[in-house]
Amino acid sequence: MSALLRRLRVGHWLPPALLIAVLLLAWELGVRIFETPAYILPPPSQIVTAFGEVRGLLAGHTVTTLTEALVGIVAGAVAGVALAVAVWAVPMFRRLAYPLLVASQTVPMIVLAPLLVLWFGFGLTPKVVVVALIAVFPVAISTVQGLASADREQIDLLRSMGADRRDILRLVLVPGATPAFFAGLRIASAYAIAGAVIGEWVGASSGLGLFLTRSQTSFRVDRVFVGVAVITALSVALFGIVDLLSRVAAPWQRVERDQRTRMNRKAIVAAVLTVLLAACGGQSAEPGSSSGDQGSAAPSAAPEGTGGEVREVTVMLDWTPNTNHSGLYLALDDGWYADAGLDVRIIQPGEQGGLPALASGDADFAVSVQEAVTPVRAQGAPVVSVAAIIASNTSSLIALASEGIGRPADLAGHRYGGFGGELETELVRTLVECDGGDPDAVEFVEVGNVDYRAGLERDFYDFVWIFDGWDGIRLEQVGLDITSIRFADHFDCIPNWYTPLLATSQQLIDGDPQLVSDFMAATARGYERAIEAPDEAADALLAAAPELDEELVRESARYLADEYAPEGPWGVQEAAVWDEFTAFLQEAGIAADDIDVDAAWTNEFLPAGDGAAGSEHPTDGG
Amino acid sequence: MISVDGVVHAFGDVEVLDGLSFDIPAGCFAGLVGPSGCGKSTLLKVLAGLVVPDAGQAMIDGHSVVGRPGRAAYMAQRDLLLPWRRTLGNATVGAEVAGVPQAVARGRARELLDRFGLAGFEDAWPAELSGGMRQRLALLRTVLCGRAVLLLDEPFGALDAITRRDMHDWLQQVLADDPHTVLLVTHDVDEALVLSDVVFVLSDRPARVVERLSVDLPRPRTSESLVGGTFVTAKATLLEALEKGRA
Repeated sequence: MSALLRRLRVGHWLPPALLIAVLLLAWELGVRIFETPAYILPPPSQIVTAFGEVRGLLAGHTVTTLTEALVGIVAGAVAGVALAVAVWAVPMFRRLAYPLLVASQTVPMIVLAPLLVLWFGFGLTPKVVVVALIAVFPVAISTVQGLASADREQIDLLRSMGADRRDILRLVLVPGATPAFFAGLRIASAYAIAGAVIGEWVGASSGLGLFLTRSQTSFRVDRVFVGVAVITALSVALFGIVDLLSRVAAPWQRVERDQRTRMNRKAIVAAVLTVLLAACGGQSAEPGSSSGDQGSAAPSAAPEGTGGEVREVTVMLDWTPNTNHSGLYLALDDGWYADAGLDVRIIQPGEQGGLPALASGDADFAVSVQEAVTPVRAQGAPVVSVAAIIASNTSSLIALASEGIGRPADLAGHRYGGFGGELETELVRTLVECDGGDPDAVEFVEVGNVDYRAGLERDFYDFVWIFDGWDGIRLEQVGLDITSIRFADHFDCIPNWYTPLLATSQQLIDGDPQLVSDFMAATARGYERAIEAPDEAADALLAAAPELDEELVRESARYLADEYAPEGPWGVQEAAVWDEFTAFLQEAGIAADDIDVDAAWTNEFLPAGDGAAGSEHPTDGG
Repeated sequence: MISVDGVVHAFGDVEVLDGLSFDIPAGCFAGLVGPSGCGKSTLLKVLAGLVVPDAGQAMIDGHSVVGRPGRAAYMAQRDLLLPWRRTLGNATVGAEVAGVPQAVARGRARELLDRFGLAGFEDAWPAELSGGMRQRLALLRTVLCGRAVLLLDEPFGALDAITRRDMHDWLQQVLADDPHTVLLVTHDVDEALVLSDVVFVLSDRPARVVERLSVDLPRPRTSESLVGGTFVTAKATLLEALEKGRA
């Protein structure tokens, strides 16, 4: 052990360790002195505390991400070497492949990843492909250089001994290119984890990317930092492991390097050991906690009344799991899907939402919003809304109380912070105008994904659009002094619409209406139960997505219990809502004029749907 | 024995060998001197089977080696040790290519390590060896190829004068114990005279043989040989021939 300590060369890694300690201390003090709110920048101490809270959860996510990164990097390395050999051996191929190889690196992964999800589904494959695409380039380029740098005279010498091509490959080319190969692999390994996380960002059921998005959407910046720290540590560890491998595979390199300069890589070894120990600790702390795996009702549970056949159903959420989805999780948790012979898998999507997955057939159902259904249909993907998850729109516009905004007309002369969508703009303008204000006096600021609380407090804008059932609850919890304009109070001015709703595809309705009915029956039961017992709904959601903030989930579940279906059975959609909202979009020039509204929705598959309002049947060829 | 008959070669427009012919009997140590860039190395590569001449014949022990490597053991100017092989692995690489079982090759290499001044360095990487050791290892590798003919291309060119002198003494001993037919390319007239039974002097490019000189100095040749009258006369002859060969 003492020999090991000596080999670790404390003197070499102590200075950088001290530097990191000093930086962390400065961070901690800075946050305390300037009283930076934790949702802007949490102090390291809080991040450590948060790490303690989520350690058990992280183990499962870490294993997922690490698996994706490792499989990806191996795939990328194999492909990279194959490419390198082809490029090196066939000069023509070099001219063909090089531009493509370089071009492949210029495609932003964040753009490519959602497409990969559409092509390869939501499993391991798209993440592996992202990592492999990241890894293939440095490995290929570096290996080509390694092969090309083979000593011509050395090869001649072996030929003079009567060596054939295989001997030369074995004796000169392979060992000669090995250090270059590892140089490429080292670069790839530094990016592999981040690549896997990007892949998870756009759709996953487990992994650190999922942990990050969920932490972010439940406003836990401290946990976001925990995720980032884990990603960094894993990347450093992977880098270190590749470095160790390269030393084992090319031991002469170290001797050659030592002849020139003594490089210090002991710090990496130390980091690897630390992370491995930490990972082992995290694992043993909560064995078998594969938290991220939120889906899959045990298919072994014998389905009743379906002749034993288990039908697989994939449900795509619209965002990270939240209380809008609690009926789904409750039905899953209580085994109602399994009872109906359904093996339901719930998947968290990325930014693009779930409708493209419906269109591509990767998902059977998707949580979406009314304003997304019609444009997707216009693009030729016949998606059909089969239930309103919440009976009416629970959005609000909020501002800090100090702005003195009491009614829509007051919004004139203020700045609205949003995504810059046409619908947002049109709604805000309509509200202001209807209340006698000047819509042209509203300034629209595009802010993207900035946390609305930070945006208001830091004065990026004056008012913002939120959902009462989630964002609103959070604001109540933090006790921010705000005024709010509820959409529901102004349905005389603006239309109501369904956000969120549950959609499926026309193909599934035509091909297996029984499946749709069975799924919807169990789902409706889930939501009805969520209305009766909000705490059960919260439990089911938290069990599936323990990364969420528990208080927020419980409060939100209680709030939504009164909102899901205050006036009747859950899920029922009204023709008037569909017609009026579509007309509103058409008048604003947002939607095309020739939309078949009736084909876009149905109550047919709801247990309460028969005879309910406006049951046009899209099955009749909508 | 080595036999070169009318070998002509050009690299593109540059004529390098201009109908070279000579014979070296078995067991003879022949030196090949000539101006820089005159084609000495090319000639050695022809004999090693690495360069196919435009015309002419090159034979070793009665077999044509034109385009057929593997009949002679060749050693280039650089030691060309494989950086990824330790001493023993480098020494046995020729045997390995020839299909000699590894255990046998290593056994033979171990026997010769002491003789080649490499005892105790069996497991060293090339990067850990001194220049002289690297050169002796390269020679050991050449000898262990198990060929009767050695083709040595300025093997000591990169060494300092003292190390080089030691290597001369040492090589003579090695060859006394284990005779080979040797063709040594060098630009060092002293080296050629100390080591060779016969010295060929080549002209400037394109190379022809301008002088064939038998060196009748007794063996083993020591540093005293270098100051004797015979040596001085031979050296004068060689230098004169070199001068004559310059265009």
